[in-house]
Amino acid sequence: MNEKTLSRDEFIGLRVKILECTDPTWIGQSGLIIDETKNTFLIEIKNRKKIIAKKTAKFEFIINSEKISITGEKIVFRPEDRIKKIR
Amino acid sequence: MTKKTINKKNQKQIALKRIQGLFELASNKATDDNFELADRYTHIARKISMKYLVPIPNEYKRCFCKHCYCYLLPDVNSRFRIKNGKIIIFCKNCKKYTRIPFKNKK
Repeated sequence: MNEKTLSRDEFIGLRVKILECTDPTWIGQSGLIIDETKNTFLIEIKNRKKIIAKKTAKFEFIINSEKISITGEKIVFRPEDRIKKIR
Repeated sequence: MTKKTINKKNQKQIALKRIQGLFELASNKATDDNFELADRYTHIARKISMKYLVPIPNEYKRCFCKHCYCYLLPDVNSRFRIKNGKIIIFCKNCKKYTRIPFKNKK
């Protein structure tokens, strides 16, 4: 799987780790994605729900024992729009 | 000029895969008593189905109410009965009935 096929796929239910962020308290945290809007992710970390903006961070996913990292600015779309609009 | 968008056949394949995954997640959340997230996942699945013109598979069509679109779990927020050759579904949220006819195959 490369970066583009993952950006078109479903994010809800995947584990994510945050590599870079403009807010330094978020760096290195990991959790489970529960919901998604146009600009944000809703992540569950240690039984707490937190919202992070997509633009500010870089995310890392582990799929089939491969590490794929995606910058947030490229996936700023609604979940139903992402199949068509990712270039 | 090279094409950058993917063609329609691939779009429909990806959409079908996402709809199936979303309904599986919704059933897990509903059995864990979290109906808000289950409703939200069916909402996203319906939107994907409408946007890319992909029909929802038959086994998932009876999992949500036809009137209020909430996720149905038998005996928690719905009642399933059979009478006169029809399946009758009663949704406790919107208090409406849905009737689906079936035929005995021999």
